[in-house]
Amino acid sequence: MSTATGKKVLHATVPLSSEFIWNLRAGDTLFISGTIVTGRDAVHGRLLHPSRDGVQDRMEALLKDGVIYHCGPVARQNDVGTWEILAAGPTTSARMSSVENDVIKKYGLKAIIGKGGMSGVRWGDLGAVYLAFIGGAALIAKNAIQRVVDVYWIEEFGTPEAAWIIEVKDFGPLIVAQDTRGNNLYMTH
Amino acid sequence: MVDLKKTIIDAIVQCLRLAATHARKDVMEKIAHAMSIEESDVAREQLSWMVKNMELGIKQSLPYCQDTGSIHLFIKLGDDFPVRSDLESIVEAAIVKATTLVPLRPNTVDPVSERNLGGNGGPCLPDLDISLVGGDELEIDVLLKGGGSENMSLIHMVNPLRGWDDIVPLVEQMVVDAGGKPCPPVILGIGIGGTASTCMKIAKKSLLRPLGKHNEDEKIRDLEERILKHTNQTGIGTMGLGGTTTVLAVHVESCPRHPASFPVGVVFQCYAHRHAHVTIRANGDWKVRDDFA
Repeated sequence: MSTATGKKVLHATVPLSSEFIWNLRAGDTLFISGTIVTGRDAVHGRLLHPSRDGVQDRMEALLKDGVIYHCGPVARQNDVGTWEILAAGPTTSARMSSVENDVIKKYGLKAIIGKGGMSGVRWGDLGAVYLAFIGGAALIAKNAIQRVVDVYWIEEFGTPEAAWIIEVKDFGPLIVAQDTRGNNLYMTH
Repeated sequence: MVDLKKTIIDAIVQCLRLAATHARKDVMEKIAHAMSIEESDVAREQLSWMVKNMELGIKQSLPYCQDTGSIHLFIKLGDDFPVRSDLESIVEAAIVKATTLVPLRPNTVDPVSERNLGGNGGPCLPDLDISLVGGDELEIDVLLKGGGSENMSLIHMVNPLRGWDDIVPLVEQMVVDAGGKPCPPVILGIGIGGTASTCMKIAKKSLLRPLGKHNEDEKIRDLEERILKHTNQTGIGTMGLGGTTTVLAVHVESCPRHPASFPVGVVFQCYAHRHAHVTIRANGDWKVRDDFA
């Protein structure tokens, strides 16, 4: 059983460097700042869809050396149209397992944040890591969100499934649960 | 003259608000106990952040999990309670109101068009269970079930020849297979017997018991204790990251089965276990049971 004893606690800002990702080890704790993108079932499907609607171009810039957060938030829009995220814990990552290799490769991602871990993702080949956030910890996450930068595909997918571009400060604790060296804290993936 | 319709809407909205934002006392106690016996540092750390997050829910009066779930209502409608066939439309109005006010995440997706319908109601929703009882009261249990834990729920038709002996290993395997997906430490609601539909219904209803309260039948109580012990020896642990506690409580209910069938229905509920109960009298008085931390 892995423990956190002797593991590092690190702070990092997106975009993340290859060197930083390669030096992470399962059990390390990370707090992330910068711009990240939420995406779950529908967003993953759209990111890989051959036909483009223009959003993919912007996604390419946002996701290069970036982070996708498996999350479908509770969000509210005020009278002047500004969005506020009220609750933003992680969703179950396993549902995205079958497509994540392709998404990470196509967009050059460095980390996936979610809960429960993933199966069959070639973290080592891709130079990316899986970061586990606490399931249900929606308000810990909400309080780390500085602002909503933008939201894509909301008309089509609705608030839980849209791609929310959010600016976070010291978002965590995120446990490195699946690293580039094949270390894995989960028993079942 | 009391506006009973408005009263019922207010009571359901208050239950939905409390369930989504305010952790239950029995859940907090179980998690505190899990922390006290936990051997993994990672798990203890995760559990302490879960508690911090639930405390923020109370302080900020906001949903402490973004997945405000599929709404389940278990209703006992008294013979002398004046509202009858319009109860379902009243429930629907309450859910529309709570979705905006709390707010709840719009969680209804049409499986055919694959579009989010933008609310929490609609055909077949909420998951409604109505029993007719004596008296002049309307009793409602509100249960919010997140997708991660609901996805792990299954019904098995085991061979009646081995039925009873298969239950513990079956549930143990389900907990291992579920891993971190249902947000462990989970609560397991288990139904034994009945038909495919009643088996799952009693499994879900068992979640309404105070956490860890055993079935009064001695043989079932023993089964609950064995399942709890074995599932906590799997090492799956908090969020699947390993540890001493994977399951907080096991509730088993039974009902008679067909001779050829031995259904075992297992419903997973995440650690947050969002549940509220209200009693509404015919005269309009209503009271939410004080189950909260």
